[in-house]
Amino acid sequence: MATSLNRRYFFLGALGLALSCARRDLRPSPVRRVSIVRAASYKHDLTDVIRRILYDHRVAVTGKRVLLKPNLVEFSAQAPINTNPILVSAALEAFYSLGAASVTIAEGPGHRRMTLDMAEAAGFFSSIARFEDIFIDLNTDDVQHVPLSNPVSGLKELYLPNTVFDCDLLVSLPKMKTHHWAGATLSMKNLFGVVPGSIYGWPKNILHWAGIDESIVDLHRLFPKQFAIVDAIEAMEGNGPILGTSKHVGAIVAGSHPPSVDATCCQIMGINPEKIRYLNLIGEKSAWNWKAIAQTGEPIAAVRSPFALHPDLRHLRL
Amino acid sequence: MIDAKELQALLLSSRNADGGWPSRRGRSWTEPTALALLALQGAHVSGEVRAITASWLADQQSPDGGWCPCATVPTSTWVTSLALLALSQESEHTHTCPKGALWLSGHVYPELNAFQDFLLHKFDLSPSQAPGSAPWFPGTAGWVIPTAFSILALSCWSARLNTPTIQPAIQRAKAYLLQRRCPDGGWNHGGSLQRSETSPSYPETTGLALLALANSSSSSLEPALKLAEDLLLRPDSTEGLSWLLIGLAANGRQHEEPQWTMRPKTTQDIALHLIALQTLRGRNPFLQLPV
Repeated sequence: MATSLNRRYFFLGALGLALSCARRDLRPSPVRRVSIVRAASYKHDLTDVIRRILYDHRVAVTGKRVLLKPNLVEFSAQAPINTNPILVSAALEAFYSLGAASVTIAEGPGHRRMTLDMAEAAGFFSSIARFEDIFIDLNTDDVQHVPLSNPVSGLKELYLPNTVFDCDLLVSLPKMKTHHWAGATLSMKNLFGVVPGSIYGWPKNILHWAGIDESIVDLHRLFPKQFAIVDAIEAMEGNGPILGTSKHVGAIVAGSHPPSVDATCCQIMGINPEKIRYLNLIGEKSAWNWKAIAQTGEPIAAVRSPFALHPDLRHLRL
Repeated sequence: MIDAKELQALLLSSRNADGGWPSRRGRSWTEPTALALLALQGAHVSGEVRAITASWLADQQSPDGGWCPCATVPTSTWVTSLALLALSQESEHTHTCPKGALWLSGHVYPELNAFQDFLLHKFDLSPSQAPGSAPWFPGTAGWVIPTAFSILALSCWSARLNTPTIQPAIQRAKAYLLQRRCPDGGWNHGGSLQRSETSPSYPETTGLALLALANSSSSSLEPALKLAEDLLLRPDSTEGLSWLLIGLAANGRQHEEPQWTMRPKTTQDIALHLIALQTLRGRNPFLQLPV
């Protein structure tokens, strides 16, 4: 009897281990590089900073069609809700200076419908020459049907803007902010902006229904060629992503692996990456571990500045 | 400042060859085309332009009666409301609308049953598909803008159709709007208050909700009207300014034509700007009965 039980337990244990291995990729995580560069203000030579980062990461830019995706959320020239247009302008210049064939700016805000008026109020028109000519509103762009294979969320398909597939490199340019549901909104959550409001509405509620964290992962997996540049010069803490308050960090965080960039940002913000669900999901679905990141430039400790967190999210504290 | 004549010329110049409009560039979509048609109905344009636009719009109707946002997407959505409003003034196409109105009334979320109500109260939860709200996209939560458009479209067609489901849907939707006001009296997108307690109202949603609730004879709208008049002094967008003017006018608060300092940047901006100017002269295309 004991033998029978032992055999049964052994069999069940082996089955459980096999299933667990199938779910979690157990290959060793390759070490990902993330740059942390100090930039005290937007008066810094940000073009040079970004150019050096791209060079350091050996990003292939020459002849490429680059799409810059900043985070534009609300009308506010003062509160750090939106990616600062000066940083976007610097990225535009840096990519062109390294030989990009074209650089387009695109965004589809998730709260308000008047994207261009918001961009004007946020300073994009005054900071970037011919802004309207090079900007695509992803909420109203022509779309294509995109099936999602093996989705983590409940989404089987999405209709997404042609613009995000007509580029060689998608550059996520978010503002470093706390988020009252996801914990933090960084380079991966920024991709919610590619989901068109003209189809799914404002807010893009279909993503909430499918699971915010799960949708973040599914959107990330649609774009294998990404680079992330996080605007952490003036960030937002507290009740972000809209009602929070300004937080000076004075840094730019960048890299070609968005989960590693976001995990690094979390540590700077005093948030435990292990407790950010979408990062955990990425860890479960790939050979990635947030501890296998090599930060270059400044060490995390040099720029770490714990962010105030919404009372409901204090358990995320590192 | 751009006058009505220039706006009209601008609108016509951005029309696609197929008779519809893009939002800015690209293919024709239902929303900008319906708004353009509503604006052109009050303007002096050739009957041919109107007829071609109306035909384009009518052709986009889905077999289920609703309208899809664009040809690529085969799902009927909130834009059904706009198509119903625009085609209500096109006699050659009004016969297509009753099926659309039924589709729409079926997408205003129903009251909760007693058991659902009990559970939500017991666990202090809010329903994910709030009774009376209408979604942007079928099956998701309801929000202020699609709900307000549903009220306008169903009210337009209710007398003509005399269908028993339509009036209750309108009443539910109006009750939802009244419940979803922000602490300042107006409306934003309509999210629950959790973690957004201090969210302010938006000009565009406040103006649109006031339009949808016009003729509701609700004295409780007074704070919203005051807020709208205040927001009118500092609008942040062409769309916001237009909806504020339209919503205030629908509630008997006529204002002088404001100095428009913002340049309309999309088809929706241009069309709404034109409609707002028409509203100041007494014509409100959102409050008309079908021809």
